[in-house]
Amino acid sequence: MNKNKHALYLMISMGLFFCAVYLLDAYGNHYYQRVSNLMMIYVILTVSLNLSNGIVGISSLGQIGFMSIGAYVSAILTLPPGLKEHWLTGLPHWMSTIQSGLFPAMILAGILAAAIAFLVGIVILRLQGVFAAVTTLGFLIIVKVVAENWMTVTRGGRGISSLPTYTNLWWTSAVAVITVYVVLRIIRSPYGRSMLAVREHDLAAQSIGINAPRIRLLAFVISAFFTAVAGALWANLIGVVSPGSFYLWLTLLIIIMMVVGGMGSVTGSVFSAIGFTILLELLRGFENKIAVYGISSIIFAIVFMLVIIFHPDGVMGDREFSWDWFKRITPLF
Amino acid sequence: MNADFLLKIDALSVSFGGVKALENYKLSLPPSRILGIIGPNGAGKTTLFNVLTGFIRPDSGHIHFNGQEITRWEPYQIARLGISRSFQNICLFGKLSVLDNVIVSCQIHERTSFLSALSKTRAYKKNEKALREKAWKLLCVFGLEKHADRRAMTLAYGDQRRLEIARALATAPKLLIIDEPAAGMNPNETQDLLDLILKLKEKFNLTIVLIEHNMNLVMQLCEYIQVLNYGRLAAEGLPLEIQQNQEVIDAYLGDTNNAGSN
Repeated sequence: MNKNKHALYLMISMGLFFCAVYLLDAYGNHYYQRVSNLMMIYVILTVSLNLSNGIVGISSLGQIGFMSIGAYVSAILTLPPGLKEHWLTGLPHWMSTIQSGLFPAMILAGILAAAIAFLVGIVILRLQGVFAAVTTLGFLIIVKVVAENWMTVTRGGRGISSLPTYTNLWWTSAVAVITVYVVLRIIRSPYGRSMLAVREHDLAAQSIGINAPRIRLLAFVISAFFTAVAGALWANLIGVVSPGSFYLWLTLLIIIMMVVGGMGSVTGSVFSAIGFTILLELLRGFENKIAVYGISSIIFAIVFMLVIIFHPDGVMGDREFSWDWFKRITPLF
Repeated sequence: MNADFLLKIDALSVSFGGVKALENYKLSLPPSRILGIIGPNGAGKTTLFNVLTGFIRPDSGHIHFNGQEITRWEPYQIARLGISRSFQNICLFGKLSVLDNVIVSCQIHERTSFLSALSKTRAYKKNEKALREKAWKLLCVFGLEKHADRRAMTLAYGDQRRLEIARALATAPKLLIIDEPAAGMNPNETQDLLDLILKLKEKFNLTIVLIEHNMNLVMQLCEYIQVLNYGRLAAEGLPLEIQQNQEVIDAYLGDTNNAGSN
């Protein structure tokens, strides 16, 4: 009975969500569209970071490296052939004559990043805690250095511009919904239980037959896949990719979003990503108004510190959103 | 290998740097027995358990379980073959619910495909339900069902110990290894534990190896006892023999006649 009710609420809220997407996409102004797209991309990034860092407990600081890989793969695939021949002389001939659409570019970006995550993960995931954090940060730096110096494929520091802006709100919101659905399903499956067990106690998990390194690798690879898809969406939203875009600022931003939402809570990550996107935009407007530049970063940092001090587990801890919460507010539910 | 023995260990040696934690250890354990391993702290008891379950690789020696050599297997492989353990210091999945602690262990022999988990096929849902029911039944055996939804770390100490054994049993092992189950328990709780272990042994047809410092429990429960001292087998035999073995009394048990006199 309750279950059916909840399914109904979920359908209604999904319906409302996609109505909002339709309205924004058709009638919204460019600014709101841009912010909403970024919001959805942050949701994808935060939720997939939560899978590797929050659910299975890998202290990865390198996820944005996978976003960078995804963005570059998509940029190279979707750049018009004329520009490709001109700029990206290192590409094999057959690649410089084709131009792919967003969907195949996204999927290829995800698969390539997942493959790299698999190879990198085999090595890095032998380490845990601080050691994993340092090596994954190293991975992020390597990706950036490669992007900066592989002139004939990435154009180095100049970046690749004039990308077709295929990304719209339908793409970003659909991918965000799929990401949330997939990650939630994983958590509630035997795989997810194994992941949580590995996070809680590695040795105990192995003692009940869980192949802990493999489970960690699985989460890492899936996380890299969705992160790279977000990168592909980002590239075709902004129209430019450059090495500096995917570095420490974004890394910190999504870690903050994840921690404040609650490590281990997918819905927490969703709410947090949405909230922080809005907060950042409001602060930017405020900053422009009073003309004290940099104040938004300070306020942002203070909000983060306050949450950590008063709610160290994040706003949602490791719980998930439940419709029953509304029962306390109104008897209607 | 010899089919008469469930567990057979030959010439097992482990050293940490210069320290010999285990030296030339031997064991032949027939099925359906309870073996007790006693000895002073640092004698190598827990090291033996860690080698048996794959957490420490031995320097030399062979371990055969159920006719298969498992000497350098990974912990998860050994668990899947049918050796399960509890830990000396409680190692539960603290933030998971009591029920989930057992479910995650029950799923050891399941092979769920990734796609069926994403698409929630009928078989998948049925399987999940079966897992839950199996875990619930096991909790009932341990009297933990009333705490099923609580986080494991919020349980009382004795309940945590029992949950650990429940989780170990959920893998449907042939051999259960228990590391100091009565540590920190009062005499009443210890008696309950004794009854529980005997009940489990009958119900699940287990072979049990346990480390314990509580001599009362060991002598009542175990059919055979090994004494370790400085990594070596100091003595082995029936409980009565061990109680009268002069070497064991000197090393570990202490002489009751002289107790308190010096």
